[in-house]
Amino acid sequence: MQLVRIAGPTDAMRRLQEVDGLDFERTSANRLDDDTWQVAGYATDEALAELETRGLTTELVVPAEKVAEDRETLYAAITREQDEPEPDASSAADPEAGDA
Amino acid sequence: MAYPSTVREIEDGLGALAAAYPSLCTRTSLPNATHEGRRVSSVRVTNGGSTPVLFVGGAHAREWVPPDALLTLLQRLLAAYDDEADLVVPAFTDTASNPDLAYPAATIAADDVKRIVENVQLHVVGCSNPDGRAFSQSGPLNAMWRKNRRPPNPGSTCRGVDPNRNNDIAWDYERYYSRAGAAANSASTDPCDFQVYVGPAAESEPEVKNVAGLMRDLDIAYFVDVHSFSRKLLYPWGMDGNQTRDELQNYKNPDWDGRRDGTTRGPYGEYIPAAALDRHVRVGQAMRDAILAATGTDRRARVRSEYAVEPSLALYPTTGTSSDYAFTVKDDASITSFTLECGSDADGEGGFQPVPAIYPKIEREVHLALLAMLLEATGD
Repeated sequence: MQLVRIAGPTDAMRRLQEVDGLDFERTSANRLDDDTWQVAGYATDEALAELETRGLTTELVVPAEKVAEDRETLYAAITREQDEPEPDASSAADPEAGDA
Repeated sequence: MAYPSTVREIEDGLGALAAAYPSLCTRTSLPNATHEGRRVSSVRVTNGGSTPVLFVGGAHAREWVPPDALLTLLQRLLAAYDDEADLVVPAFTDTASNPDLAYPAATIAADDVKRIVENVQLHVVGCSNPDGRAFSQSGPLNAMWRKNRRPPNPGSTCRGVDPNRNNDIAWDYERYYSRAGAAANSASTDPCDFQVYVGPAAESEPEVKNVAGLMRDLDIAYFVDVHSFSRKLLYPWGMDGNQTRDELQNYKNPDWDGRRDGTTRGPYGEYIPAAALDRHVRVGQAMRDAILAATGTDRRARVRSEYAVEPSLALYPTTGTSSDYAFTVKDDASITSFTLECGSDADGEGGFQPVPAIYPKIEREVHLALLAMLLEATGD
């Protein structure tokens, strides 16, 4: 999965939600000119192919290998004990129960 | 501080602040346990302040920076006030840039810190969706998880609701929009939608009940929902384009149902009073300028710290968001409400999940923007 920027005309860009394997950030949408927009998101190879089929242009920002490498760094950093759920949600009914 | 924080570390960090500054910081467990049984904390920081301000982070599980940034903001604010000292946002050097890129220290004067703590009643929900964050952090295959962890319906395996589509504002979007508008809306009624499932009912989710309940109970004056990424300060509306002329074009008016198209150029625009629009632009610009003022002399630092101040609607309309909902908690349009989208896909900032080394750069932007809003909230 790579981090990419996608650009194209308004109508096609408004249908990006239909593309499987694409996780784009809605608020990254920027207007390039009157009828052209750009957004950033994470895309699988299959999603990139689908975007191309739709006539949209893509620009690679972070290649898949670098995304994977960065994730390795991050998950290695999360070596501390993971949070565990409370055993029984109903047992903590007092809204002030967590007061320190 | 080790980045990124786990859910437990965020909660422990908030608890430690309440323990260290008992006269200034109180921690409360919000009333609704999450689907996996976790409790969500809210902390209140004040010394006699009256203007209620609410900051929220962690609604979207995969956006890892905001909860850390809110925790470190509170640490700095409380330490500075307690010491009667300036609040110093430390200098930061981005060594991944070539050549190194230095961001100088920034200072909020001790008098301003005092004004904030003694005039504002600051409430912070550091991590509103802990189930989602814990799942996202459980392994690389789950890194892109966005929603909460609502269990599947019978016969389904699909989990989760997008907490930022579940608020009680235009939640029933298929009624609200035209067919084209509904198709473009960044929301889905399909529980298997990986991103933006709106949930079975408005405000059905415990995470949303907690935050929306706080907004109402506190009678908030200012609200910021901190997300990532796109370096933007977004103000209402996200549902449709803004207009200041026709009060009848509003989300409550059923006469427009099925005819709204969620664009800035259609026949419908969501009404926002001109004074409220002006106020949002002014406050947003103050937040933006505070970030920029701390970039020093290297032009590259300025370019990498440019936050746009915009209405939430650009290309994709959204419904059920916390910042639109917050704006409607009072009928008089007096609440100032933003979504802060911190960080970027560019410049090594890593999108949703930056590497630990760049956290201080993004955090300083969040801190400076939120401190600017807090100063605004003091009313001086």
